[in-house]
Amino acid sequence: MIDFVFLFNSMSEGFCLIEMLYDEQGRANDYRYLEVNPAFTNQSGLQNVVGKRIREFAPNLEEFWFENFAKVASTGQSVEIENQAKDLNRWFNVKVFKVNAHDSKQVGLLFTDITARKHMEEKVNLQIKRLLETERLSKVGSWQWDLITNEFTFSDQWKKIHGVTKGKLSMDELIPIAHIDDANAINAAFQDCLDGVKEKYDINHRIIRQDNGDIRYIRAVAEVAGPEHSGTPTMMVGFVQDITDQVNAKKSIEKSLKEKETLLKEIHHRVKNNLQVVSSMLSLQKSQETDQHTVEILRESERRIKVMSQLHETLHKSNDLSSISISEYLNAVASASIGLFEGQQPELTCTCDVEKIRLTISQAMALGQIPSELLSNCAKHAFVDRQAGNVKVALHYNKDKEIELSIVDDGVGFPDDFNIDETSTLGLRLTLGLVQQLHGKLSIDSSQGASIKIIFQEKPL
Amino acid sequence: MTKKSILIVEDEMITAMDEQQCLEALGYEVIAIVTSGEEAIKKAETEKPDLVLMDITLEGEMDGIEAAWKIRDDFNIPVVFVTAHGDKGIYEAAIEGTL
Repeated sequence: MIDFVFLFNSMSEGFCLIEMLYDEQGRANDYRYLEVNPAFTNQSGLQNVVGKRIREFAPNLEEFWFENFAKVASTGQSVEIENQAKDLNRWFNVKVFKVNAHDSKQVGLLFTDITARKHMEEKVNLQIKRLLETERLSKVGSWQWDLITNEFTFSDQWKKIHGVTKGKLSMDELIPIAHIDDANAINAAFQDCLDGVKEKYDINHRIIRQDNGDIRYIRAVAEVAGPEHSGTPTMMVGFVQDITDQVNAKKSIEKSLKEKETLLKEIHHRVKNNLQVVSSMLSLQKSQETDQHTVEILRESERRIKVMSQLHETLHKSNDLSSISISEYLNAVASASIGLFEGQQPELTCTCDVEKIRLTISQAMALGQIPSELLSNCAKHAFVDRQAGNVKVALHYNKDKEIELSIVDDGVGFPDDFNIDETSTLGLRLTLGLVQQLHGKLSIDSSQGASIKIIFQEKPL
Repeated sequence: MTKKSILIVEDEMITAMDEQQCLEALGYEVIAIVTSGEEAIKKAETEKPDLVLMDITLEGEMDGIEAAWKIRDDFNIPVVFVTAHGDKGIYEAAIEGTL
């Protein structure tokens, strides 16, 4: 036989037998404790209650407690109530049942103090509310895939992003949401996570909104979850963010940038053409001159303009408009400078050995003029009484990571009393000025032909 | 009579050399050509020129307007801007002292 007294005394739930009390209109408004078990005090916080009325402890106890207890007393139908008793500062789960079929006023209460659980629930609800508000404000939706039940659940924001109205979707219903061209990438990302190849994925892909068929771009981040370190994932959780506006803004910026690059190239092309016209006018003027000195001046001016024109030509052909390939530019400069002396004595042979280096436009502009000036000097002074001569233009990094430009010929060399700092020729004066602009150093050597070396620091691009 | 001295601040050396030639032909002494605002301030302090001709777009961190105001305020040397920037914004920036 079951020992009910032992059960009554040892159970952790509180129990009490109460007698309902009614006012003159027959409305239940109080009750008296007839019997309680040992756990009663711990669960209710009340002591020595037998024979006493609840109003003595909780004068403002909520009406619904009395209403429900009286209903059970009169109907005999048990109920379970979960509510707060503010006067007792507790929440209770109470099972109310009739204990004596012959007494219409007595009911039994089996109850548990659930205050701690309720506080926890309130905290969790607050966190959920915050999370949903954060999702709403940041337009981030979340989802969860139970790998055991295959159930896919999602937040309201996820629904908004995907244009979904249903509260639940089957896995088959998810398939048409992904853009068909991105489906393989999405599946691969999922599979990598499920197989443990990657801990999480973070990809951008397109979706088809289910309400209007619009294509939207989303960023999708997800990872598997499961019992800690069990190795077997039981859940996959993820977040999605609609990034269509950012993607469109990026496309628009890229398009605008492309247009500006095209425009800038066009400008370089036009500047080059204009300089070419100036150079051609000087050439035409030169062809009409008989005075050799004037011819010489016009040729020098033509050459200098050609060098500038060549810079814009090189930039026009380049994919990078912020720097210039110096090897391409110097080869063109040398060719243009030597070309002006074509058909004349001495016949110049120029070789270029230029390392692949990119320089800022301002450094390139200054640097390009220098070999042109020096090549012109070679043509005029280095090979006196000779029919031909060789000159070499070289540009390399030295061991100190400085750039070293050298122009070396096999001609007569510099005069014995030559002092470049005191030179009055325009070409050399310009060279010195340009070296100063490059913050470089110039040195000359006349041991074998003439050799001019310029060393300068490369400016960061 | 002592020649008036001028400091040229210009990052295009060929332009600066042209300016120098014109000024010397007019009887002035060009004490130096520098290409950055920082160098200009140093030269102004050591050489104390009578006038500074200042370009606005220069090498380095400091632009010509900032350098000009510093030279005028610190050394009381007059500065004339020489620039291809002819727009109103640059003019106002030069007056206000910030580009």
